[in-house]
Amino acid sequence: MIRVMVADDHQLFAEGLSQALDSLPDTRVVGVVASGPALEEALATQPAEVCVVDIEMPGGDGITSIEALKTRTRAIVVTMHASDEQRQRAAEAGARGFFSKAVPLVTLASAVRAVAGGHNLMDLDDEQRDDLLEGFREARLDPGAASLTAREREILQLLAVGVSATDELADRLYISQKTVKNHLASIFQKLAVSDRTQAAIEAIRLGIARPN
Amino acid sequence: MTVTLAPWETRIHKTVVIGQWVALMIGVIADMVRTGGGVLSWMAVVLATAYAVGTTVIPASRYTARFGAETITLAGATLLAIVLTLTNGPDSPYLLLSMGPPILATLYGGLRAGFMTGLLSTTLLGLITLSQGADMVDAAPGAALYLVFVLLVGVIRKLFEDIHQQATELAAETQSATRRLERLEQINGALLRLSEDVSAGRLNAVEVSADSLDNILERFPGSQGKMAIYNESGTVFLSVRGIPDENGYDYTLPLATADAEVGHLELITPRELTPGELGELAAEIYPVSLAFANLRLLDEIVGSAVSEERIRLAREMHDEIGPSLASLGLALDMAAMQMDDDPGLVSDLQVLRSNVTKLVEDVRNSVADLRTAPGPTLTARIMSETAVFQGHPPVVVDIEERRPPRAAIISDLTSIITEATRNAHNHSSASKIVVSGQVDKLFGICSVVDDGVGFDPDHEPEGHFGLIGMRERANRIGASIKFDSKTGVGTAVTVEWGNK
Repeated sequence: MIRVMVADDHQLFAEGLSQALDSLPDTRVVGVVASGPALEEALATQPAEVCVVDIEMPGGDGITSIEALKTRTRAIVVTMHASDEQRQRAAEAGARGFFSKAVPLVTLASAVRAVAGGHNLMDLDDEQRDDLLEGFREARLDPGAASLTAREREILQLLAVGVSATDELADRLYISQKTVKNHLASIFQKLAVSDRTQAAIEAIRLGIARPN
Repeated sequence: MTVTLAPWETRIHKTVVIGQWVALMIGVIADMVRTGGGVLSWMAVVLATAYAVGTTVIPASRYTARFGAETITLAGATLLAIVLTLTNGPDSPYLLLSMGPPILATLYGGLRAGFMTGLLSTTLLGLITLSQGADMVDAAPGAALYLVFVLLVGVIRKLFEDIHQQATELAAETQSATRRLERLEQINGALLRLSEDVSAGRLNAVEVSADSLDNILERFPGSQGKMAIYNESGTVFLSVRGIPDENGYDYTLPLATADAEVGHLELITPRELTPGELGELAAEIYPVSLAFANLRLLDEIVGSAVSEERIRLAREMHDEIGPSLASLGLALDMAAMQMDDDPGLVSDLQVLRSNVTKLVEDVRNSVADLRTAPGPTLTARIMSETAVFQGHPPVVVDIEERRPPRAAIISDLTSIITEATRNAHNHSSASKIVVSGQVDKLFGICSVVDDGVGFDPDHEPEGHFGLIGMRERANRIGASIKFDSKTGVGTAVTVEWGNK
């Protein structure tokens, strides 16, 4: 799971970006802030592998914060100011990626995965960058989630649509209640959750199950 | 030699001549009555009449010629002295007529000549009186009359001379005032033309300079004029009119107001201008100086206001509209990812997403444009660049420009069109070059058309024509360029960019 911090003073965009990244199975937004200093403060208590940072924000621009935080996190700039000059400044400050706010979610998600994996997109030209990001289009699930069996995924889908009683699950899947309990125990362990509600939420978040 | 007398001199001359004839008649009648018409009387009549006729018919030029008045009046005085001798000396009825020579001498030679003649007449009268054995007292009234008439005519002459001088000075003043009025009318005319330019929305430096140059060259045919304005780019020639004369006279007149020098006028005239004409020229271009200064001021004010508004708009687009649209795009992406089991819906969402992405990019470009200081329009740039080609053949710039093209391409467009105009000017031998087109922010088409020698389109001229450079520039900004030419008919270069 990649922990991401969003720093953008435009509330609507910040929330939208946060929801979008949170909807991905392998990223989790751990904080949304509206300024450079707030980003530095938030990172002190809430570590994040990747920060998505705007340039123009009140109380000091994002580039200053990127420079200050480059040893603690990896920054991707997402801005309306996508000029060559700003890109150069961002690169010099230590940013790992640079995108306009028109960037599609799939591209940004790939960039977050690549940067979290240690890549620096600023060193690449557009073609090289696109080639690299192509390899990061798919979500990298945690080993536990990735090891879910087909039956366990079926149970998670039923949990996600509100079928949570053991007998009902057993009836739907034509298996015994004992077997259902065994599968649930395995699911809880793999997803690191402690009850059926948490398992359903995590399954939806990971994209393994759909709520309807 | 024909001498023209002043009207007042002619009038006095006529009065004297008439007076002499009246005095002659009085003398003849009085003498005939007194003597009954003896031989001496008739001799006197003949001589006196000869004098009267002589002074009447002798042209004015004889009087005004060197020693003319002196000779005539000396001869007249002698003749009339004989008449007086024949007719009773100091009591002669012709005494009044004998006043004529001193009067004429005074009239044409001044007081000095008048007194000399009067003295001669008095001496002759004295001698006649002595020779006839009369009392010298009898000659006194005659001598006094000579003196009085000389003085009287001298004073009158002086009076008329003063009046004449005053009249001459008044005429000169009037003439000077008339010239000043004409100059004011010219300035007023220039201001009126400027005012018309303002009313017609044509108040730009190029129009003003072209208008002014046309007017100046109308007054100084065969001249060449160049008008330049000084701005932050340095000296920019706005208009050039006429063909330079290598042997002409060069003048450079500053376009200046009380505060600053805003440009200059270079003029090459086929003849030397008088100081008066240079003064009139300076007065005529003063309104242009004011117009240039005011245009600069107006540009600064408008530029400042526009700049503030652009910054405000850019901030609003950057801070509000752009991120909101970007957020919408992310929401669409998210929806498409979650609805991946419904391909139709995903496809619709992707189309929407694509539109939103384009909108965000448009906002970004607009923000970048708004944050770039607005430069001159394409038309203004082309007029400025092609001003040096003005003269022969004339270059007519007729571009309909709604909004200037984007800052990223306007310089290249200007260079392409200027190069095409330069080629037409230097190589086509055309009688006219027309730069026309329709321009808007995102698209446009411009043509440079001449009626010159043209070239074979299958064998484009190489070397100095810059065709490769024009094509490279066009490619760089995503424009298309087309060369249509026919030998002997002319050439049209057309550049087109953007999509409607």
